[in-house]
Amino acid sequence: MNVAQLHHALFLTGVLLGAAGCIALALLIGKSLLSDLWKFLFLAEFRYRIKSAQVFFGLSTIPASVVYLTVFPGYNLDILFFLILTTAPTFAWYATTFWAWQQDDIETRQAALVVAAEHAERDREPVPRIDQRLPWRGYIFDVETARRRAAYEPPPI
Amino acid sequence: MNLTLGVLASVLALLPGLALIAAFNLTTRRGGARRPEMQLTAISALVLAVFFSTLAHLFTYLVTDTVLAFLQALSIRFHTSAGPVIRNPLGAGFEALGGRALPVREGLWLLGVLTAEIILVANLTMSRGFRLLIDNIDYNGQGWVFEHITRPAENGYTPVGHVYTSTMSGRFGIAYKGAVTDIRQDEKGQVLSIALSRPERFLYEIGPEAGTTAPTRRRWFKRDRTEARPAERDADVGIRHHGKESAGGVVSLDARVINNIVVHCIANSLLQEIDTNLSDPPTGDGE
Repeated sequence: MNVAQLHHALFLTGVLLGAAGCIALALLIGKSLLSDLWKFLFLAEFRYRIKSAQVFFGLSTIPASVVYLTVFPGYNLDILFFLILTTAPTFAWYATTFWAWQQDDIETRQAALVVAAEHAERDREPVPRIDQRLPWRGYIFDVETARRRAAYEPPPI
Repeated sequence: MNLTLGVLASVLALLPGLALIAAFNLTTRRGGARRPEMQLTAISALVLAVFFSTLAHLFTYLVTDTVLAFLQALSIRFHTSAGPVIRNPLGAGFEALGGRALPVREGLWLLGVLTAEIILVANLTMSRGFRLLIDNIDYNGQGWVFEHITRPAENGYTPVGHVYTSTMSGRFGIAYKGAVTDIRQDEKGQVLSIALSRPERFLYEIGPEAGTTAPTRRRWFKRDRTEARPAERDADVGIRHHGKESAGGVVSLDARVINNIVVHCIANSLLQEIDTNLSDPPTGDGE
């Protein structure tokens, strides 16, 4: 392989990696802004794991701040806001869900699983299991739904 | 209505709010209870539309500003070009309504921003968190249907309805019993139709039991001493249900034929227990 070919291969790899990175970044930005940022508002309303969510949100701003300080030192603070808004919510949401899954006892998980199984059946998706290591998507909402169901009293007959 | 610039302007300004109401109307509640769509002419819908449009435009304007600043910073930092610098597309869009020219590049960005706004609002409205948030609010004004059908169906109960129809022959009428799958109301809340799944059909009877005719008047000296006294005769006057048969499938009943609807809520866990008990016949060893 001569030098020209090596350059060619490196160039192609760079283009592919760049394209994949751009797509990943776009997905991250879309997910953060369009769905994950707002889930924290709901979480605050449910009064469930607020403290840990705040801590994780704080921790999730660290990568954005590091990128800002190293790559864009001295630039407008808009850049920092942009980086935080587009990365922190997704990281923080995953961390909060994982932490909630770790902290919840088996009864809570079981109750959430019942709700999750209902949803999975309706959407024809695989039903999650109780012994999986990572929580399923929407675990926190399942916990909240189960809690409300337990507290609900039907109208008298 | 004439399609004037004013209409276009208000559509642009209210687009996120309209998307919110559309998404709101699309999400049906479990239990199949429905009222007609929220009308835009309703004052509450208009307020909602304006409020959420304002919020969405504000948020998107700020985020778009940061995106533009980021692209600019990228091009300066890495000595590349991300195209010519443009104004904030939302701002440019609103200026264009005032007669200022909208360059193609900003127009394209504006389309992207509006699409993102609609996706954001629809995402928010259809998300599980939002549904949980408005879980106990009767936003459609459904009244008893909300309390006795929608809420129980969302919380692990099955609303079972007895519908007494006006299809009658003499003292007998047809009635249906089954799980309520769909109930529709008009804008005033009156029931338009009800659908029951896997219904059982049965006859109901009003008045004295069939076969016992009303006592004829007889003179007191001819009256049989063993005949029931009036108080005892009253006891078999009332409403009685006769043998049920499964009709299968689903029955949809129109408001014209419905006399009464009675709804009870039964816990799903109880129904499941009954199902399993029925499917496992007793083994006969005394259990």
